Amino acid sequence: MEDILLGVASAFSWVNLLFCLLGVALGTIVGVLPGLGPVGAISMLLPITFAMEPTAALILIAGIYFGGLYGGSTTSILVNVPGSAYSVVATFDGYKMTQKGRAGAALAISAIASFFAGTIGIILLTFLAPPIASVALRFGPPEYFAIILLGLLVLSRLTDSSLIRSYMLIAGGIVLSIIGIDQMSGTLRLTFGQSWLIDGLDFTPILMGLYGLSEVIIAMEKKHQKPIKADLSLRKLMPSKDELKRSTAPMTRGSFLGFLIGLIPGPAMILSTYASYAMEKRISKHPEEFGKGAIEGVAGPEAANNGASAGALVPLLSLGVPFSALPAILLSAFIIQGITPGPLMMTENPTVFWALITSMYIGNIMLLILNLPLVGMFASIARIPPRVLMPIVMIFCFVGAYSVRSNMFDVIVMIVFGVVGYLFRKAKLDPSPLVLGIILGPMLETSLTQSMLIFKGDLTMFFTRPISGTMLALGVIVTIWPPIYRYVKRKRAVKNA
Amino acid sequence: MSIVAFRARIITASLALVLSIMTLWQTWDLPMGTMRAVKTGFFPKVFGVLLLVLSIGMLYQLYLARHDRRQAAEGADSEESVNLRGLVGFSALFVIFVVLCYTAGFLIAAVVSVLGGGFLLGLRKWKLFLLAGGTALMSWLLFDQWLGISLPSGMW
Repeated sequence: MEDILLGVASAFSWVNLLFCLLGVALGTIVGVLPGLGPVGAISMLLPITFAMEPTAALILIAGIYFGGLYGGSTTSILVNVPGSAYSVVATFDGYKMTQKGRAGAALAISAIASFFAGTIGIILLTFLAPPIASVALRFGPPEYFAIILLGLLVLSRLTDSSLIRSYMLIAGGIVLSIIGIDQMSGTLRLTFGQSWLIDGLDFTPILMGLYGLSEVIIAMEKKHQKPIKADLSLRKLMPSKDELKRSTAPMTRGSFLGFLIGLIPGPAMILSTYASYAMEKRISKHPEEFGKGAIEGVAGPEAANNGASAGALVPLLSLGVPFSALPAILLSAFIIQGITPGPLMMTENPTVFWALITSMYIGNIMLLILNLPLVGMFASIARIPPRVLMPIVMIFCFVGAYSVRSNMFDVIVMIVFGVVGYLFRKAKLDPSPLVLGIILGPMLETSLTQSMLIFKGDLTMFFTRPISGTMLALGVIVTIWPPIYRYVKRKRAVKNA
Repeated sequence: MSIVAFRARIITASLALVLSIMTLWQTWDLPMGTMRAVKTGFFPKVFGVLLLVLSIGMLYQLYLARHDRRQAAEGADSEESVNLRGLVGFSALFVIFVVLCYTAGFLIAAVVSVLGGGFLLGLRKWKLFLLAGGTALMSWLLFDQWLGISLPSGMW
């Protein structure tokens, strides 16, 4: 209890409140920019936190995390340009509302839904993360091996229609994670005799390259894109009573649905918006209004992606395992500050943990206050032409990659992965499996090696221990169920024909 | 699938194939260990072989899909093209940044990079110089002076 109070007090200190405000403002500003979602925002702004005190740094990053999510839908609603992949659904009805002169109402409902879902998500996170973490304290290497393997298997099912492509990227990521000195034996692996490869590849420059620098290269192809124009005044922001009433139930459903989807490995925020939209359309008394400016089509998905963002923090904070790109970059922010998220975080750094949770509540309130009156100003950021903005992003990426270890090699790694990120965009491939392969690869190897050592090479213990057995059984179901389902469906179709 | 996406996937799969061959070549002599004691060569070899098989699988998938790709090419979107000159220009710019950081230091490297980047993105005249000078100076002040991150100072 004392730890909780200390954390709350720390979050309410003037310095941390200021960093929280700065984080949500910066996150919203960057989130508004088309193409740069919260992942891009955090990777770009991560270097700012390097020299900061851990609690303040993590509060700033948490602010950017939620701010980036808020900002992403603004351009979707105003000009039909999604800020990132999870904001695509906001264009379906949000932009139609703008065309009908209800842009203000759509933006306001988006802000209220995000606040509502964010708050519910953080409440659930507050109550779920500690018990899961206490259970996780009893986890041994087999449980960690099983949960990481399950995460990778689920992710491979969700990110691409082709299993071969997903598995290839995961395997590629794991191979890249092997580069450098082996932590267990001290043997050098895949270093090609080069001393600069001994420390291996840090995943922060890789993330900056894949998500940030590739955006700069892509911008070159869109340099003739017209600047965004929209008329926004406070008067036009307020939704009507009827619109508020119609939004309440979709917001509530979206919040819980999003949180549950957030717990699942993979692109949870994107999936949650589509799932919420489909659900609202199915249960609506007027499904024909969807796609033509239905307020429910804005409220539900907007709540869902914020709920999912809070849900995605549960495995990171309680198990120390990130299941998608966004928590993965948060993990790098934690590690840079010398804090390892996971079951021990609540006992080793309780003040930081509870200050972070408290700052999320504060940040959500700040976001609502910022978003409603200042939405017009944030929208104007999207009017900055890419040819002005992208060179600045490029310099931020260079400095960010260099700052991780004060090493030019990391800048070179970032540049290489910037080109790889560009290639992935052209190939229409999601880089998440590669990123998670790089991050989870060392954890997977360590847990497997330790498991085999502890249980003297007995493979059956993976299946006889209840948690690891359940996880692996789920992994098998996730892998074989879709082809079986497709086969049965095809058979039935042939039979009916 | 567009021609650009098809070709980009061929390049991706080929890169994965090269990575797998390099992995197996580099780690072939490392010990695999036993079931009781997994050694340092186990993971790279298992995932090297897996990557090899999967990259060949993806290349084979793309080979089978070549006819679909030809049909899609007829209705290809103009936005699906690759600006090769710009891509080469940016790659060159990145290399110049690294070389200049080693020799002339961060400030000059940043000015040259923003000048080059802004030019490739279509920015011209005084705005370009203002952006280059402003960005380099602001980032140096913010990171080097304020946050204490020692940026490369070059050979002097």
